[in-house]
Amino acid sequence: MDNKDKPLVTVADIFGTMESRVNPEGVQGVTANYGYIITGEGGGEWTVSVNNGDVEVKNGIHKPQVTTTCAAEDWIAITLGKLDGMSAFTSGKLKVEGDLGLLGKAAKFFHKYTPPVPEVTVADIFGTMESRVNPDGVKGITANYGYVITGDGGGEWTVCVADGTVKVKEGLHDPKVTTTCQDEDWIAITLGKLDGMTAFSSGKLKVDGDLGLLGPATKFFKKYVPASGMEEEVGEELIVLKQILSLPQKFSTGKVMGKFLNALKDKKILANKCPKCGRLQLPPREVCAICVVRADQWVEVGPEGSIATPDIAYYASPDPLTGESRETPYCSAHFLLDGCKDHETLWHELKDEDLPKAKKGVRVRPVWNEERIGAITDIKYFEVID
Amino acid sequence: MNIEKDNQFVIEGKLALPYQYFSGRTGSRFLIRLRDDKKINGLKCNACNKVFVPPRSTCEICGETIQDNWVEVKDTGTVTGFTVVRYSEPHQPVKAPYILALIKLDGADTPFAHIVQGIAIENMKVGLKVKAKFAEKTTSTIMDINCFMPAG
Repeated sequence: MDNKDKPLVTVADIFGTMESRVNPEGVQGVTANYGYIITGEGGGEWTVSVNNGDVEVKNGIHKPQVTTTCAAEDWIAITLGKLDGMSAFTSGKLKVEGDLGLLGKAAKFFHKYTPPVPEVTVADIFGTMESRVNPDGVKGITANYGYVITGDGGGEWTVCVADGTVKVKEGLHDPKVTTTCQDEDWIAITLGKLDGMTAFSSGKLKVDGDLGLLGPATKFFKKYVPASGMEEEVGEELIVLKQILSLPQKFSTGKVMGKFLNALKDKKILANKCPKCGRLQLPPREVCAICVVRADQWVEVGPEGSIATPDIAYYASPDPLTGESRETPYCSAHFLLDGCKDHETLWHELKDEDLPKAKKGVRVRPVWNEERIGAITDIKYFEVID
Repeated sequence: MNIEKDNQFVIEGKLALPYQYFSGRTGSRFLIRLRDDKKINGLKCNACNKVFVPPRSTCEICGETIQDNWVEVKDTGTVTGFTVVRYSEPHQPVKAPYILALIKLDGADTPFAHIVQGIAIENMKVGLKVKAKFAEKTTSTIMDINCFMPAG
């Protein structure tokens, strides 16, 4: 970026507009101070204080629970969506100290930052044309192109192309083809927001004279960049389809898993026992995986037990039933139910509120759904017994 | 073994896969003109004198870049092949059975696939003249053409 052009997007502007961009649903129920140390030119220190729905942005660092350190240019790129926050973190561009779990929530605090829009004028578009000539595009072409731009910001211009050289003059000078268009439509076409062909077929753009000359004209100039920078923000509409493909599936329980699932309706947790080695299998399977004999004895275990291995997830994969990613953090765990030993554990979830207590050996009990259908989800989750 | 028969049952489930499809610059222009102008556009290779619908940015014959040579084709065309979809699944735009046809539009040199309605399956034939029926509610997809109907 040229030194004379002051960048429109500044770190100060990003933090300065935060309070006006608060997303009430995103900050609901969150109370924490987020510190930001933005290094390099244009950087500084800020604290975003979230207090259950209220957001205050202060200069300086004020007792943050989590502090993010990042270079000014990277922070701007992350804010504009050009750099993914997660990959910035894994590549070390973004450093975090403190409670990492708080950062996941922060992604939803604010509505998208939109940079201040630079003023684009028709006069500037024509005024910069000579400096934007694409030598390959004008090679071999000699013709005068007239432009009548109507509206307050309009005017008349002639683009004189003479085999490789281009002169832009005010007024109409013997044009072979003349394009007439409203000022705002001409700006939209130049910025790529309005397709030239669409404008022509819908009558927004009118052409008199040799229509065939217009095709080559699309290659005369390099892309117009508004005077104040922000070159990558202008662009044509591109279509992305977002869908959730949902595949219906059926799972046959078989006799053994069916018996286990049916018992859950009666708030009973059943394991089956190998007649040879005496180990339990939970959930049950038809054959002992070690002795390869039918495990045909049934034992009721639990329902209480203790946490064997807690597993706290901070990054959720999409839920296969909905395609949406669940809230993080959450805890799944292997539970050692009473009557079981060693690895005879049942995998299930721990209640969200009990997350801080998720430690090996902590006593738990299942919380059952009112309505039970013979599925593993008949147990809502396990909770810590205080 | 003391396992009663009613311990066997079937659990219904589903697998939901979020995905996104980027239409590309050429595909986007095609879809935008279809959506905003109800016009079908193709890309023409001037060297081979072929018009591709759906559009492709590179000529499949000579390999030339043709991404700016947009031409408009008619919304009428001829069926060059078809199949009858008889299996229903939730993602189909219409309920089975339905006709999926290859249609060469007037002004185009390549056929593209779409649904033909308004004709009984037993009367469907190659060579049928059809006309596009545009959707009233647009979605920026190829379904901005609702279907093709027998012309005339």
